[in-house]
Amino acid sequence: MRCKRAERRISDDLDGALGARKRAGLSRHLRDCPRCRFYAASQGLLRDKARGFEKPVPSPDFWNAFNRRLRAGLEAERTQDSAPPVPGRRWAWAGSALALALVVASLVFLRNGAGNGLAVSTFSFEDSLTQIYQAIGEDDDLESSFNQALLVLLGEVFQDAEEIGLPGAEGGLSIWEGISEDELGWLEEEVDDEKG
Amino acid sequence: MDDPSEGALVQEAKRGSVEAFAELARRTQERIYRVIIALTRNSQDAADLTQDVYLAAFRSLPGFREKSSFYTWVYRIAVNLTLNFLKRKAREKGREEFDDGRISRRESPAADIGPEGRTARRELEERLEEAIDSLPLPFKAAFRLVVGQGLSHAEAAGALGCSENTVSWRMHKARKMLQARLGPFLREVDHEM
Repeated sequence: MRCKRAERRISDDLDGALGARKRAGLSRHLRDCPRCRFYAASQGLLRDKARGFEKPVPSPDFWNAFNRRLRAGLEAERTQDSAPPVPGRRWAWAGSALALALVVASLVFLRNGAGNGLAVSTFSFEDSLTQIYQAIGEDDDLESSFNQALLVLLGEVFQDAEEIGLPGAEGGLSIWEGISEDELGWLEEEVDDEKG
Repeated sequence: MDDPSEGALVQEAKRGSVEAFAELARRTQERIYRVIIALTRNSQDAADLTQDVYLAAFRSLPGFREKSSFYTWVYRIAVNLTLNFLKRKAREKGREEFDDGRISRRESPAADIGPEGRTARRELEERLEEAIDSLPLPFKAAFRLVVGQGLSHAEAAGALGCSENTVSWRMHKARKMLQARLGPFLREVDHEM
């Protein structure tokens, strides 16, 4: 096992997310690798110290004042003219989402690397997606419609999502939430590592 | 008198009852506050954001289909609002992104670190929170939720709206960045042991 893979497994193990088989492989590596032993010990120390950074929860007095302010805010919300969503409004949101998807898709482009496969630059639209998904709430039909529309548009831009190895593309839905270009580059490194 | 069930309170709140919603908020606010302050590390910001979360939840309540608990639903709103707040705050402050290149030129720990290593430990603790706070937001959020709040990768993925694998990868990268930044102090502590 290479150290780069071991470091990933050390991280998962610290979070309780490493299965028994992989942990056994990691243990074998650590027996022979002082560098990774130091890394594992260091990260364990940082984790334990970071856990102790929790701020204390405020006093009951704080919560009494908080709840008074909150009730005042809720009363103000209730008296405002805010009609509940009606079925027509849901479809207006779907239309707005499609329009946003068109704008987003026009900002996504492919660059051909010099013989190194496809490098993808993405526009991080996390803020807009977050607001859209909040507005969608738990309306499964609307969420499904939006996701499908976005996927179709992204598929048209990428031409073939599977060709550039986007995980989940083969499954139909592939939405990259908040993945920046740097993160995508690192992810490609990880994929190459796994292949290597 | 029996406490009303969450479902009954949600139905009352959907009919416009401020009392019912306030009770739902009372039952969940301490946990929501803890999540927010784990991300913001600022009491005033956390208090303001907690209020904003419940006001946003009250506005969005007609869209809550009760497929999850009220707490889970509000938790997701809280994480989204807090991350948006932190991004705005970072832009306003013109905060520099965490830069490994700068770290490699950072000076070694001060020469007054004693051989017993207690100064190294203390300095590590002081610098750790600053280092976590300097992580890029997606990594900081994952780290705070998983390490600070004790969430599993699956739970953090649900809160952050990403896959479990993305949380795993962000935790790995966050740790690599922390190791790069705190390496000199970690080596000093290691020499002590």
